[in-house]
Amino acid sequence: MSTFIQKYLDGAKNMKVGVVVKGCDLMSMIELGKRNEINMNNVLTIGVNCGGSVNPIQARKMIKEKFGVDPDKVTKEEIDKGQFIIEYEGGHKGIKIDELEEEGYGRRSNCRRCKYKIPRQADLACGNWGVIGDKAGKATFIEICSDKGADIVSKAVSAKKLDTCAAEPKGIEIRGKTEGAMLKLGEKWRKKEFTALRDNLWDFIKKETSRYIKCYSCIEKCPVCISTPFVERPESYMVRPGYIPSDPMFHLRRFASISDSCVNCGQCEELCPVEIPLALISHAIRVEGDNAYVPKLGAAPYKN
Amino acid sequence: MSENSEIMKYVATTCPYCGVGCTLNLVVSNGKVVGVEPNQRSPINEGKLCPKGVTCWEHIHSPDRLTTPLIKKDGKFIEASWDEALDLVAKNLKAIYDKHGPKGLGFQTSCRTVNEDCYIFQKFARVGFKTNNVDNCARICHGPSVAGLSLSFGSGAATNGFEDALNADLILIWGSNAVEAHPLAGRRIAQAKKKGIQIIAVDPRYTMTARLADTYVRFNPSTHIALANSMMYWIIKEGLEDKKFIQDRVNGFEDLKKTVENYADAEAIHGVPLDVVKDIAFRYAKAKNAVIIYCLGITELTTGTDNVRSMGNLALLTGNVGREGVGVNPLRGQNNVQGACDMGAYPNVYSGYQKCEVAENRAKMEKAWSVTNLPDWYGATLTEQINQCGDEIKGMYILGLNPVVTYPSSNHVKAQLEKLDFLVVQDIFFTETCQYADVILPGACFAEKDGTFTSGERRINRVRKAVNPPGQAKEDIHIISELAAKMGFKGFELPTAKDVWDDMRAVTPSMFGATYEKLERPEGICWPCPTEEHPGTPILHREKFATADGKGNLFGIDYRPPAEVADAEYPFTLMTGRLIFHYHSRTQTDRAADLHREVPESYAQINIEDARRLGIKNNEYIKLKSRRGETTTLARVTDEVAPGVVYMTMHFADGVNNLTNTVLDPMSKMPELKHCAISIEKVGGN
Ligand code: SF4
Ligand code: SF4
Ligand code: SF4
Repeated sequence: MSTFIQKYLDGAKNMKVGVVVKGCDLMSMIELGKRNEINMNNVLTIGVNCGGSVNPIQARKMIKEKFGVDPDKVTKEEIDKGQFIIEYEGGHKGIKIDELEEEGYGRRSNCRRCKYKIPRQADLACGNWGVIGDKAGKATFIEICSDKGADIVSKAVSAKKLDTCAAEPKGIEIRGKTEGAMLKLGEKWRKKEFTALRDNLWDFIKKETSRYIKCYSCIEKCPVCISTPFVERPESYMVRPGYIPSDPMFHLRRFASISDSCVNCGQCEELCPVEIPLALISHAIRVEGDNAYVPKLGAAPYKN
Repeated sequence: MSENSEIMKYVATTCPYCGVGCTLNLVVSNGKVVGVEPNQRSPINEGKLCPKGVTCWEHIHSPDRLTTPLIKKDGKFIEASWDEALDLVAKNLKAIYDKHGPKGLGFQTSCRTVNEDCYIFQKFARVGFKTNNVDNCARICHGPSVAGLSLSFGSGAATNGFEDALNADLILIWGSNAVEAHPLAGRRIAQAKKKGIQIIAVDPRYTMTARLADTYVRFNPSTHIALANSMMYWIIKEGLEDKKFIQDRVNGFEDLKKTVENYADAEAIHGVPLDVVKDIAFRYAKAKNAVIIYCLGITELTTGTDNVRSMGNLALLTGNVGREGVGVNPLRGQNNVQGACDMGAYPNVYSGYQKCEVAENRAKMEKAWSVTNLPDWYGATLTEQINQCGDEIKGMYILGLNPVVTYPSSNHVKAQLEKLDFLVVQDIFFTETCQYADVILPGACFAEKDGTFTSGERRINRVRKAVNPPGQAKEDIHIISELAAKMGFKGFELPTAKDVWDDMRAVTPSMFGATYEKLERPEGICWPCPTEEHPGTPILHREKFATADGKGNLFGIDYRPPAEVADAEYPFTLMTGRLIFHYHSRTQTDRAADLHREVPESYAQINIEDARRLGIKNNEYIKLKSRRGETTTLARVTDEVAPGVVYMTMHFADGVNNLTNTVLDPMSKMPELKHCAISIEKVGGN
């Protein structure tokens, strides 16, 4: 999403765009904005709460293998109250996410570690968490987070495109609780996955990156990894073109470059053709870095 | 990005490079392809792509594209109108046919292009010129797989899909560097490794793929049969063969048993210590489900068909065919090498492998195509056609191939093409071969046409048109269709790819059920798919084999050395292969900036000891010579190859194919691209 705007829409430098964003999309856009790759003044962001996403092929597999349902028959999927729920021709079924994820199904691994669940740095932060009673399934929460956001809502209301009412306190409480529960779950996964890396970190990185085949997806699709032009780039003494597996500095310099900015969007890992858990490594580096050092580019407006 | 749908859209299509058949989205903006984005709904690659896939759009709008027909006049190419060009082609094809008959013409199609092009092209040759001289470049990659697997199992295609390797307990990967040559199939090996599935890699080179394996077995180049026979000797000796499977489903056990008796210890031939042979044999035989994955290391030899049958032997002997997690799977090289053969662009079969020699088949096709006298003879194959240039063959029509670079012995190919009275080349770029043409017709690339590719797992995937061909270039089915109209041939009024496909389906029982409607699904369809209700067949030979008696065939096959082995004058063994960064003769990949930058010129891997002995340093130019020619290339000094062995990739003009051997596998007519004898010299002396 963010790199799409950067690459194909010229960073919204000459057009106005409105986009619906999850937390990771927004963080990516903020980072690209900082790097003058996207003009955020021209972008209106409508955030939605996000409990995580599932790779479509993995979802189909999970539906078939764990739910025993033909994925083609499924009409709706959602994550609610700690369950992955599907509706299909002839019924609905829910299984606890914890149970699915212990068995290797479920959300993308970066989503499991994600702690930016309601993107409040967007102009509006919407979503179904906390929408209760007769409004459930029919309305969305709107948290107005900026002047731009306020403006669009009031315009939509006066154009009669939108009906609004004040949020019920009970709804606000539930929205907070849901968010809190998701944050706790995110922390649990971080602890689990980062601790597992602790003892053998170098070996792990060495082994995993040894499969690297230079498709460059982890560079091209990463919102915080921007290559210098190749033309007139001085020759590298440590990374030779044409060699695979690539020389180790290929990875080290990339990790170093994104160290204080990786937003854990998961794109690098999602698109890696040889299954290198890149987001896990980058995310761990950023989290540890943020813990231990003062950020070079100033503190990020989001917390993740 | 629905909000920008007028100016920008995604077109889901299939990668034009290798036989994995990854799905990708072309990003189209204002009538131009501006990028590739992942298509995560594809079960084949889940959005992931290799370096070639992510850059596959870059050549589409290259200024070097052919945009108008060209006619050679006085040795120069002059721009011409379609009418002029097609008239000239029609006139010459007719003249040659009238004078020299059906055997006076040769037709060659690429297996890079869509099924629909291949089908209409072979139909054009057969209907218009009553010739079976029609072939595709599978001949020089997996022809032996088609021949060998047909003999062993009754069907010349992969038995199981790529992802199915994850259901195996053991993967035996032999003569395949999947991680580089078929990266998204290589991914399945990486996944298998993470899952804890045992992986044994058998290869003369310590490749990227071999590095993934638990056990890497280096053997002497081209000694597959000896090694497989040794393994089978020990499997039988220990009683580890699958007796019930053999009894119920297999012929030829005694013959095999007798032959392998002589291979108890064949280390002198293949170079693998006996304890290693036993270890891999026993592990393969004992695994509950074991799959063999192989590639051109097996096929591109004069023993290609027998090497393939040896893989079949191993699988049949141990009962590893016909269910999940087993089988014998060639990784088909080019995106549509499976499809081009399936379409009948082959000198002895119609679509769906219906043999031309069978009178009923001919009668059926004659009826469907409203013609008479379709030929029953076995047509000349790709390289045979080249050899016959100037003799039997006077005219040739080449669709999307670059023989001057990709066929063995480039000097020979050039000399032969010179002898033709008339050569038409239909392509998207001015390739090295175009130089030899009389007429050049500008076709459409993968992004400019609808159609289908059939991947190495027999999966038919949709190719969707994203933009129009450049200038006056045309979709290839239209070129053939207009030419047929000029020549007065009937049955070529097929304006859309779907029309051509339906024309093919109507005469092809194994694909009858694979309708375009069904192919809209991201899953595509694996043939056989005989009826419209049929879901397709991801795994072959479940109950019975596709042979006449329903049984698999074991064959006792003896080892034969390659046609040309290293000697005092040419002391090194040359092997060939692919690089991850390039595709074939690089007409497309070298136009992608990233890929060009990675490997701008050719290199040869030579062993550290050899380099030391010859005083050759890494990255210095060396000259390689064989009995057929010479080439200069960079040396890459490495221990990936054994002493005495040199490895070179196939992508560069005046490169490795100046050296390679044209001798053919007697059964499949595959030239021995993977083995010849060479010498090495430093350039600029000592
Ligand atoms: S990382 Fe995953 S959970 Fe977090 S916002 Fe993105 S999609 Fe949602
Ligand atoms: S390193 Fe990976 S997870 Fe981190 S921002 Fe880049 S693409 Fe996203
Ligand atoms: S693996 Fe093959 S099909 Fe997939 S992107 Fe690479 S070249 Fe294309």
